[in-house]
Amino acid sequence: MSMLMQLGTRAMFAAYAQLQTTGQNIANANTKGYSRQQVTLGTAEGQYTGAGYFGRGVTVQTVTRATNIFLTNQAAATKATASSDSARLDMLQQLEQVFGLGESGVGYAATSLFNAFSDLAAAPGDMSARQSVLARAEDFASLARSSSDQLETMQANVVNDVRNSVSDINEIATQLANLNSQIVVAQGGGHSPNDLLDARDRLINDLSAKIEVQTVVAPDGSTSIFVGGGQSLVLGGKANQLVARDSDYDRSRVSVGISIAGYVSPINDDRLGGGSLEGLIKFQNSDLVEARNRLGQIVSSLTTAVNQQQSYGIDLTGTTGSDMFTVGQPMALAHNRNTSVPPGAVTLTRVDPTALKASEYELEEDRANPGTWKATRLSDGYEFTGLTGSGEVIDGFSITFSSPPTSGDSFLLKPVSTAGLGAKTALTSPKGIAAGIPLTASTPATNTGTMTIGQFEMVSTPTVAPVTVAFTNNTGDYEIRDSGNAVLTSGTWDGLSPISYNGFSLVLKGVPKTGDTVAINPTTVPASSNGNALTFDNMASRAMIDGRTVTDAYAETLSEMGVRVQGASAAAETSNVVAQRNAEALSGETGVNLDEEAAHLIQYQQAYQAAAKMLQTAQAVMDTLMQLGR
Amino acid sequence: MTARVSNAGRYDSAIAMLQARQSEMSRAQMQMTGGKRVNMPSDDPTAAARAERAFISQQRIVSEQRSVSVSRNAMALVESTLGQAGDLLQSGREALVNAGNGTFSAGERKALAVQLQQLRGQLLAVANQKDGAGGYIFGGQGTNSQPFLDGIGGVSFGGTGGQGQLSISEQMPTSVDGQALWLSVPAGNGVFTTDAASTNTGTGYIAPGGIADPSLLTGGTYSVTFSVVSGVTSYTVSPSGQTGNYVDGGTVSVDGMALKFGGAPADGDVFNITPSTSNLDPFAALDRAIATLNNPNANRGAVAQAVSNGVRDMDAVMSQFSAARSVAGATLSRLDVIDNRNQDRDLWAKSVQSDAEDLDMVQAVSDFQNKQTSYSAALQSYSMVQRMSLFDYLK
Repeated sequence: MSMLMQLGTRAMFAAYAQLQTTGQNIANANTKGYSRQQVTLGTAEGQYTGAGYFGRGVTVQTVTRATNIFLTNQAAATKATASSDSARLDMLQQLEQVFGLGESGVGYAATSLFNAFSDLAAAPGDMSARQSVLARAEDFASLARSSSDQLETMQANVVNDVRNSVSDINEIATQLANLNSQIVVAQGGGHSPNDLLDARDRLINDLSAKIEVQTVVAPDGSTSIFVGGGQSLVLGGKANQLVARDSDYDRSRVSVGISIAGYVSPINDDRLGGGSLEGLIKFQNSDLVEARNRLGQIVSSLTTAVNQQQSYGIDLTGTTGSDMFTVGQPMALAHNRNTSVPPGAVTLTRVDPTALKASEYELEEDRANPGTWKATRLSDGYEFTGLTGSGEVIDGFSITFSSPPTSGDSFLLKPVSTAGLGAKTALTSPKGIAAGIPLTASTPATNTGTMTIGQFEMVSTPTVAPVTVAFTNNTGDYEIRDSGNAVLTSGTWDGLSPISYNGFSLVLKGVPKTGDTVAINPTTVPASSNGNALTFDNMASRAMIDGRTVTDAYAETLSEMGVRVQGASAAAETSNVVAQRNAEALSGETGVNLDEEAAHLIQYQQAYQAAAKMLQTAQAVMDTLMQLGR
Repeated sequence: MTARVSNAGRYDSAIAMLQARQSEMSRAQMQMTGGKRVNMPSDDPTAAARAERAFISQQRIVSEQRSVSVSRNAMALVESTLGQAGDLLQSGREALVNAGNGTFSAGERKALAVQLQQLRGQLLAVANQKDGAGGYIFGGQGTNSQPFLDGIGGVSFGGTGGQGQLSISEQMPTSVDGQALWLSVPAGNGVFTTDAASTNTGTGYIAPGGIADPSLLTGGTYSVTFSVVSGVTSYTVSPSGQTGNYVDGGTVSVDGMALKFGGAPADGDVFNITPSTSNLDPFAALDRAIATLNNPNANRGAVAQAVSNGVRDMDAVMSQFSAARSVAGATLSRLDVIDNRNQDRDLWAKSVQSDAEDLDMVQAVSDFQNKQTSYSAALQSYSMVQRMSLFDYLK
């Protein structure tokens, strides 16, 4: 009888435990990170009698949680990728706004400036036309400036976000270390501390949204966490600190490192693997740099060309024109581990606006040829070797060592990307616009051939002196003579290429005959000279930005940015779907299904009722026995 | 797919799905309200770049059209001004022809001289025609003040030679080279210039002459000296040495030139033939005629010579002006061509831009309706599926 009683009691206890766990599951059906629990039952060891083993009922062994390490890791890893992609996409979508379409774009601002010069050419002495050129120049400069400012604001936001992420990561790492300690202790009791394990999985999942992690479970139940390809963030019950640090060259850019035992070792940007931190840093190192370079290339090429052309022309008073724009100067940033004393310094100067490229360069000693330096163009990895810092020109800018660096030093060269910073118009008086050309060409009426002047413009620093281009035969041989009729130079005109001398470029049309001349004289009436304004106007169709017009360069920038956003958006969409699938798979495996719990409720309730019936039967058996004894 | 589904997970993914549908719909709605398919470069990077290029072309065309219209106004003004100048020269020519009337007294000639003097003044005013924008249409490549200045040595050009231009790539002139047009007319008949020596005493004069045989022309300087011996007038040509008897109105052929004399030359009268140079100007020509007509002592020969020279010069200038007028007309028609071409290019650029970035409304409305249908279906199935639970059946 006591056997039966015992069996019934045990069964009731087991069914109750199951009901309780089902209740817990139902209660936590919507708790984030909760893993469905279930009671593990075991058959109690049977009792040996002469008639064999009699079962002694059921025992509640432990409460386990549904878990799947593979799915848990997979969910965390895909979440890291998805967060990285979506962080980068968020930033890129902001970046895209900087490059406006149509009237809000840099291309329109530049074209408006050229168009204003076209209007000025029609009335070179008109102050309102001059004022309008200045206004359009200011529009361009202020758009360049505000666009650059927006890029710098985004850079500052990235730095801020990275710092915040790093402190979040450190907070989570500390909590994980504490949980590890608690889990190790609790595990000692022989049962799995389900709620602590859930909490740890949840934290690892949260951490993965910030940075990709690798986990290693130790036999004692603690989970160690590694980031950046093998740096330990959490080791058992001990957490290390991630730090946000200035990047090697550029103090405005951010990079991360990990502080282990007081020593900070940098984590290579490429090894972050995933998480919003990686998305932000990738955006900073690739997209933002590209945007800065492309904007900077357009701004520096255009403003340098305009300033140069100003210096070839004359203003309303007949004086050589001065700079129209002031822009940010090129910069060379020293690596933070450079050792030379005094510190090596590099000066860059933009020389040829048409050759500037949208890139940054890394300058370091050429190990193959010690004593000489090489610059690597970061956009495509092309190397310029044999540099000595004595003003060599590569890609349109010159490199000069203003203080010699030593072997092992390296520099980041930014020839164009700083141009938009502080861009403004340097001219304040409309009179200062060099619309006039210092030399004027004309053909005398005595010419007998059909030659006319097709194009006459200044292409380099002019020498203002009267000269005559005189044809000495009918086959295009010419002499350039000074006012005293002395021959300065001679050549043969091929009917196509311009005749260049003293800074001018003369394109003729028609056929010159023997004795025909073109007189080139200093301009006497600057107020009605529009030759240089025409050259400015013509810049709209000149391939002045690395072989492209301003319009083409800007359109290309737009499409480049668009492609980046499009690519990032597709990547974010895909990785988000993958992450969602994985999260669903994990939650399918470990989450609560209420229908299942409802079924369990019925099942366990019936078991409980059956066990109770067992007790009732035992009691009835006992009663029968008692009545026998009466 | 795993067999199990957790309730929380099912809610989460259903909500995520509904949100995705909703954001698709709001995007479609934004495109439809804006009428543009490309609102950001990322909507279609290639189309955005193409639209940008087409948009900038339109801006450039607007600017070039402004230049075309400035140039057109200037050339139309040149054309009409040259017409006025031609009328003035024609009046001058008629006055000169009148002055050739041998019966006119010195006083009558003086009246004509006054008329010519006035014409000259009007002609100078026409030459200094402004372009309405502070410049002068005959100012060439720029001038500080009026390009044609009346001085002691006659009218001089104060501007810069050549033509003002509005474009480097296209010929869009804003002015005409005044020096070449007004002050560099080929003198005489274009090949040689004839004139009487100022010391002549007879009534003989020399006509502008013509070309009999271009292959025989030497381009040299000649003089024809007349001698009257016992009533017979003969001539000697130097340096060719050719001689002959003079016939009034007869033609003398010398080295391919057909020289024509009239009136009665006196003994020792000399006529000079010099190669033509491009330095004739209407003001100097009128000045010369006026001086002779004003001279009460001028003999009939001098008057006849002045009239002949004057008419010849007026004709030369008129022919130069009508040539310049036709050049201006040709420029105007070329500007029309540029204008038409720009309008075509503008239309093309507009259609490229529209093709690249505008929304196909029919397509968009149909897409939107599709999205709407699937969204409402999703909502319906969501509400139906989520309502089902085993607990509903536990009583």
